[in-house]
Amino acid sequence: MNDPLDRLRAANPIPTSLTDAADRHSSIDKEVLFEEILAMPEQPTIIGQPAAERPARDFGAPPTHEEVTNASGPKRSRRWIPGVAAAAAVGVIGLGAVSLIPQTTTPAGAAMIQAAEQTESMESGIVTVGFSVAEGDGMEGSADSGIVLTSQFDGDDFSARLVESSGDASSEQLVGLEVRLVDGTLFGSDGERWFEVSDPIIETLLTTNGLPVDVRDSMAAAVVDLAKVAEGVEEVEPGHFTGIITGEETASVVSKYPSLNFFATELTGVDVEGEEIEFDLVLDETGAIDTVTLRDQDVEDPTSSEPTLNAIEIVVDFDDLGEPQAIEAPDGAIELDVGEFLD
Amino acid sequence: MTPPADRRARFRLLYDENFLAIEAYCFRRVPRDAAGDAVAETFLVAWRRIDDVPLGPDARPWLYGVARRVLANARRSTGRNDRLTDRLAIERGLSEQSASFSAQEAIDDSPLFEALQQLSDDDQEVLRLLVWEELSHVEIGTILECSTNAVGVRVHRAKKRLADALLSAGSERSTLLPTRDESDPR
Repeated sequence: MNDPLDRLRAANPIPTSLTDAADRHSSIDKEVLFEEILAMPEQPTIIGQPAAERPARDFGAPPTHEEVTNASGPKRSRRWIPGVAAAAAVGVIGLGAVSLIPQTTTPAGAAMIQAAEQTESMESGIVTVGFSVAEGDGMEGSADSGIVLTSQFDGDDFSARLVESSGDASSEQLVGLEVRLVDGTLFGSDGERWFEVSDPIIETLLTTNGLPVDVRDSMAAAVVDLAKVAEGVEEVEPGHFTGIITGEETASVVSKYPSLNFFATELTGVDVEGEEIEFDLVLDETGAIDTVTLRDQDVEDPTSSEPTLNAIEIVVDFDDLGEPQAIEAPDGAIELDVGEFLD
Repeated sequence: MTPPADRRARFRLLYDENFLAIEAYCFRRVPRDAAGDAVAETFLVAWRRIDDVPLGPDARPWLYGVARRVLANARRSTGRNDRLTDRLAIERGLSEQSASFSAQEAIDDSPLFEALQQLSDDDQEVLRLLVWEELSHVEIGTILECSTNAVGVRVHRAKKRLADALLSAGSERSTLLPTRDESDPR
């Protein structure tokens, strides 16, 4: 067998003849999978899109494993709330995917973009992202669920903490892990103990799904993206802009901002297509962004059999921009077995 | 937008006609768990974009293209974890070999497997598409988003590189074996 292609053909681990055989090589139940796929929400995806239509560097992540395997499973009764909030948030965050599309920029829009880029250029500060949800038609004091992500950053150091709350501080519960990166050393907390993780795997951890990791860059970049694609931008008073963004691009956030994968896992079952999200963007005295607030007043609860409308609000706060941040290594951190940490 | 019933019927046909081929494609390239996910994700994409899936014989190359991208994405996202797993295995004194092999990694012809590994990903893929998936140059061009002529050139070069790698692997191997006396009648 001198021809290398003949040799390769002979080595085919799954000969073509087997692909026509009834006794296949895998245990996938074809019919079960078929029904699961049809049960999935028809949300936008950019996988498979021809290259000519696809934004550069935004090929997109495939639908998540959870999306497929949970398709026919029981719906979560409460988990959708941060999911919806996150969906609307990533409507902001994920708009980076379409920022490559030239927009006709109004003077107000141009001013907002400039402010966003100034914010993005900051090397230190605090970013707080809060999601809250209220049943009914308003937000007034009735938020019954929410998550808050707080990230301090200063140069290469950062800390991130994500908590879920039912309305009062005493009920706050850490979601996932709290992390700090100090002088190149990563620390993680499960809420009770701090662990120190050795250097070689930091990169892995920083990009592993499920960790509330460094979102400062993606958040700031997201605001720039938002500014570029927002519609109907008006400066209603000096330093206060309003406008609308759509929910259409939310599906692209996973590929655009891997560090926000944590939120993306909450998107299962949430359909943000067609949603219009109002925003307010307020500048601070330096001309950088102080607060971005987004609202969607009529989000349907995908877990409810009744047509229930809910209001969601997302507030992104930038504080102490340009000021040094005290991000310190926690005392008494335990040097962790890496395998245990990842488990 | 195609009516829902038509969409479902069309997807059913697409699924039935291509499931085994896509399943085999994925299982040839990645370990079992990842392959299962990739199959599901590929057809989920197809379902969601059923209006964009080409009709007729062009559908299968389109699906291969999606599967290829799904696998590439999965590799990117798991690559770091895999490297970490390898590192942990070394640190713990375990074999470097992962417990999860792809079908390709289980090839009995180890010189061939080693030679394949010396080729670039693109070279490997074009040869696999040609020989394992038994696709035409036109179909491969659709998947790799290049012209038919370019496929021909790639195949030619990849085949030559594979031959060279096999030769190299063979000569390295022969230096490790005891030299047989040519006069020995055995």
